[in-house]
Amino acid sequence: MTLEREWTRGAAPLAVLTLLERGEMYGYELVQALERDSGGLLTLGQSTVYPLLYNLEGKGHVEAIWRSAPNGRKRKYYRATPDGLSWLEGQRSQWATLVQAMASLGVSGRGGAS
Amino acid sequence: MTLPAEVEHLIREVLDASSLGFEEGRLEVERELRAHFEDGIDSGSTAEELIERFGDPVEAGHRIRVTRPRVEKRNRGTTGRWWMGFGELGTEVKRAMRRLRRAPGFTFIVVSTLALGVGVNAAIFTVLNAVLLEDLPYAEPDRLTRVYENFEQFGSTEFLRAPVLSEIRQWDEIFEGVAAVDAYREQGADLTDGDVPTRVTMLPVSAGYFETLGRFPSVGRSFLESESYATGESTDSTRDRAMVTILSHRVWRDRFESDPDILGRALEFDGLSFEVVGVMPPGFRDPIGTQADVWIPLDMRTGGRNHFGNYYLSGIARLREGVTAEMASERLKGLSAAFAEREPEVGQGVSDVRALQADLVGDGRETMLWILAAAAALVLLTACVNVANLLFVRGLSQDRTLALRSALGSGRGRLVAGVLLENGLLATLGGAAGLGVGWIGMRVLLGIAPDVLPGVATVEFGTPVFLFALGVTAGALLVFGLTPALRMSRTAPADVLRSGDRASTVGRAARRLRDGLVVIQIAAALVLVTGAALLTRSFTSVLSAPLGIEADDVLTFEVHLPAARYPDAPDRVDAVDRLQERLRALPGVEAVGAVSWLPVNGPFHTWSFYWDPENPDGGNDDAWHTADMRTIQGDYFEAMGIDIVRGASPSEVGRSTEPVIWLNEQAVESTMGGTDPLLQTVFASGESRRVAGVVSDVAHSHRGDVAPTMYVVHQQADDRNWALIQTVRARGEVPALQESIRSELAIVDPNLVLFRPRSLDSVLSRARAQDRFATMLMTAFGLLALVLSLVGTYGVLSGSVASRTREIGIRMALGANRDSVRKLVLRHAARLTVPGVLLGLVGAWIASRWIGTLLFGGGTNSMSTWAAAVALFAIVAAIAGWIPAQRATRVDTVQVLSAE
Repeated sequence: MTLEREWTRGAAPLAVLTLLERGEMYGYELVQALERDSGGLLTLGQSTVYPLLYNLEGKGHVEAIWRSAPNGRKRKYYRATPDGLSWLEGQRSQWATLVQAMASLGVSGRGGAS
Repeated sequence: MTLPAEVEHLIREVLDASSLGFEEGRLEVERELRAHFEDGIDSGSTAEELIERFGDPVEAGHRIRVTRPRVEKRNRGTTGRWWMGFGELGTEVKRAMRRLRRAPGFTFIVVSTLALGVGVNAAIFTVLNAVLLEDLPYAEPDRLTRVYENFEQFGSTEFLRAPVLSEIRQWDEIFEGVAAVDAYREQGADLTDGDVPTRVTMLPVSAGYFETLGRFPSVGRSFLESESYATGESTDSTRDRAMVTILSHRVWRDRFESDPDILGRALEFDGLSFEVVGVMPPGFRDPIGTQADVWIPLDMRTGGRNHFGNYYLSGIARLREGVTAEMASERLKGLSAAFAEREPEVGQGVSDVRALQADLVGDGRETMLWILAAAAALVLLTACVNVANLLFVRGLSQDRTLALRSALGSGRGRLVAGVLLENGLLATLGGAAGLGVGWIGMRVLLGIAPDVLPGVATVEFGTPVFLFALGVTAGALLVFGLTPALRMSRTAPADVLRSGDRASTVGRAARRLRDGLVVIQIAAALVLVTGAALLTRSFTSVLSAPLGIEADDVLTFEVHLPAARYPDAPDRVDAVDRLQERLRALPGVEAVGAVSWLPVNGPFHTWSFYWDPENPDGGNDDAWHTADMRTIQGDYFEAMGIDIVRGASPSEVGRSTEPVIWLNEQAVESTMGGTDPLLQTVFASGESRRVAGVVSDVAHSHRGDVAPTMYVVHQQADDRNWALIQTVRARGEVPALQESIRSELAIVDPNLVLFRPRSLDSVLSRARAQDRFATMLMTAFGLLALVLSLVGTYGVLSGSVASRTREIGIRMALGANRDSVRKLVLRHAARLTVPGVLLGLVGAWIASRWIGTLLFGGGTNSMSTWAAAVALFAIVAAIAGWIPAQRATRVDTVQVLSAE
């Protein structure tokens, strides 16, 4: 199953920052981690990862640095900034509130019961 | 790695769809996409899979178009700040290093110019710091003072009387400690411990000497009160003196192999036994006099030579907390007046208390050092102007590169930082090389300055010098490197890129700035050259100052006759006689004599004599005159080339028992006027003496100062152990004579030491050391500045010709001939030189007032010196202008115009 595009758009920045919270990653690594850790649910069109990262970088939530990878090739690594981490905290609690609100509305009830 | 063609195509599509410009990070995005696909292929995916998973390139491009500029905007914001992160800093440093490596000529010239400027300053600063700024190596040195007193008639204050010192020791409310040193004349002793005697320098000091300085023996004790100030009368005999000694660390280490059981051991100095009671720590040095090897207690008891008429001690005192030197001085003046009343026959003494440090350096030396420091600063200024010019020219050639980087998205802050880093690297290299140059310079200074600078033996190249060099370098590059950096950062990239190869359109303001810098440089160089010329002229007069002696081919040395084996004056006279007799027989020797104090070494034994034929009994107070007393033996006058103007020579008088004296011409003129001196009798050195002859004047100082002088032969002199300095005039190799003299001395007495053999020339050279030192340094600085300003002027002119090639080409196409083109450049040279020289003359005039204190003869108003300096700079300008002018006349009109 894949999510509808609107869901992805809202959740992706949160997912990316959550991954970067664990440690810095370069673009391709991030794409793969998203696929793997979300069970394929958050398979972004790879073309959207970079604009997404630029957006976060533009807002100051992540920062990027070029470094040599162990294989000698230059890669651009991204990591979450303190700004980004506190923004992530805020988003998480909003997310939890939303999930709770949805649950009390019964949105998630059926799936849970079956 | 090469990407498959279809991937390359996809990347191109994304970028085209994004329509990002270079300044919007297009290259950065491209690199990142490449890295993405390379990673994908590395992880085993095929190109097709990757392309499929990537999604729609056009949509990606559009999204990037929207999001990427935000990143650039943000980055410009951060790199617009002056700081950067460590990673960025590393990148920028590497970049700057690469840039410098690519311009080795530029780097070399900037670094070596800086190294010269910084090195010269570091060397001078080291010496200045050691001599003037650093504290003396004693406890709380700012409370240490030198106590002066002297007989009014001597004119200068220098030495102290023992009764005065004994009195002021009691002033507990003024002084915490008072001590005397007998440094009137350096004393040596033959230390015998084993077979061969060694000569050591011995300094008699009063008890309390080490306490006053706040430095104590590391082994044993210092001198006891009773060893200096015991009850009883002092006599000149050594029999009842305290026979104890303190050794310097050096003697203890070298001579006694740091023997731990040295205390209590008996050592023999000149045949007398002294018990070792202490050893000083390493590094201790005496503030007054030559560094001593051993110290013995000074007999301070009244009696003997410790009377009211004998000024021979050097006084050191430690002020109590809160007491100033002025207060102590006032009190001392009161005491001198009181003593004058109590002892009317010795007359009024004058007295003074001065801070020890300032006193040790001396006014003349302090002025000299500050002048040299100012000169070194001017050298640095001229060096910096050249560096600024080089940076400036380099800035122009870098405009395009920087503009490109700016267009590619580097913020202005980042660019300025890059330029600053480059300057910082240059500064570091230049500063480090400068420290090297400074270290060498300091060794050279120490090599030529031991007689000029007190305490330079302890000069170290330490932290203060390092900080100083750092400060100087950083300051120089900030001032001279930042201006071009800021200018560059303001350059609008589009202008530079559009203007193509004509990028070096130097703004008028910038050109003026460069011209202005060169004007300042010429002015600074002119000040230095004029100063150097004045000093050189002065030194030439010093060299030709009449000294009244013939210094060539004379060897001097000391022989000390130990009191233990030569207790009586006739024995000593006889020993010297026997030695001189043997020396006369040596091949090549023309005359042999001896004297108590060599000429040109300042006044010594300034005593008084009485002359009044009407009142020969000494009742006329106005008939007492002061003159320097010299004890001589053998053919001293012949050996030194001193003329006997009238009367007989000492050898003609022979061993007659009639007391006689020789006066110099000045003593005769100043006291006897027109009276025939040969018929006169004067009272001097305890006896009425007939004037046996008049001799020509001999200089007291290397600058030719003359004072009234009297000469008495050894056998008729005051009964004391005169350590005479032997003077041997010989044809041919004077140094080679030394060995034969040594063997002759051994025949006379195998236990005697030939001490300090020196040619009279080298004695003179030592006396001239300070004048020579200042002249040499100033000349070196002047030459350095001259060369630097030549390079600076040339650089500006040739740069200007290069940037005006088009203009010159067009002028020539329009009919200007070579002469007028040449004039164009030479006029520019004149525009730099004339104001530079005028400004320099004003500066030099001001500086000459200051430098005047160092000058001898001629003064500062020597028109020829000034005219020569101006002419020199005209020549420099002509040389600096001629080459670029010639180049300008060779501009190829056709080429220039077709390049349009």
